[in-house]
Amino acid sequence: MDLEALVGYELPVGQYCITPDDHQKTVRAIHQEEYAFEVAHPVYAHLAPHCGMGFKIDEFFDFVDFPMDGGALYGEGDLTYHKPIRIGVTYTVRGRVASAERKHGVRTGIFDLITLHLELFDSSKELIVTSLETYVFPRSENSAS
Amino acid sequence: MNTIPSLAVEVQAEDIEVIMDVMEDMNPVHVDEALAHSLGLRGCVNQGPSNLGYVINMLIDWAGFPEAIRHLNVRFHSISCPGDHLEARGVILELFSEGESCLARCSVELVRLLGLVGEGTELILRGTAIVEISDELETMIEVSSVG
Repeated sequence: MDLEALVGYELPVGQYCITPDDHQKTVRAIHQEEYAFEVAHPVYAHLAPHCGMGFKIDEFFDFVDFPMDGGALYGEGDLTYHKPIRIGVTYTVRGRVASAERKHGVRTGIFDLITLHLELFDSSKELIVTSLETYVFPRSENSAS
Repeated sequence: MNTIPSLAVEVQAEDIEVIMDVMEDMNPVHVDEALAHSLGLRGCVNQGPSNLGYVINMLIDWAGFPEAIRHLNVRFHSISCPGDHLEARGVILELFSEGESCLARCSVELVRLLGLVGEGTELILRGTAIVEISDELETMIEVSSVG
């Protein structure tokens, strides 16, 4: 696939609202059962943009031409907190492909690194969170060309 | 050296399924052990955001409030799997001011404990965090530095 052609692609605009039920399930699953703050758990700086981006995860995999069962991994995350994230508020997510490059590792072989630049905005268009998420897509020798 | 109190966690398979549900993440590598092994992985893959969450929990417990976290950058070096015993750790690298706030730049990491205590660790993730700290915490850090 032409990785360079992906760079700059604007993802469809999406929306996301953290429901109280989802928030409760999340904090329990990450072992923060006693979390009792008014604002959402800061892990939602990743989860809200990721879940709210205009692609569902299977559509994203189709977009980068990679099978769901191919062993893609979350490789790097960069989160900037501009404002607290609220439960029950509907946010708008805007995103683009920030970078896409092929690497060759001695141990891992050929793999692609694709970074999404995602931003979470509230209804007054104030920037709440900036999230850069980099995914690792192992490519077989056959698909490397 | 000023260390952040560490946080221990054991990865549970049922928690992975909960996060799959919340994230609408249907990647079978999280629940299909045979698939994970066929991909050269040692087991079902706990979600990266959960690993990140454990580190965030450590920072919240230390700073006292979730809004304290201003920035976080992490790189994943390995996966965690059900049954793993993990430990989130952090070290304060420097204190600096931003307006009225005192901020701490910290190195953070999540490691897997291998076997019994003292048998070593495997690095899961490592990165840096910028965290706002209270006046009280700042004083404790400064006292600790002098001591």
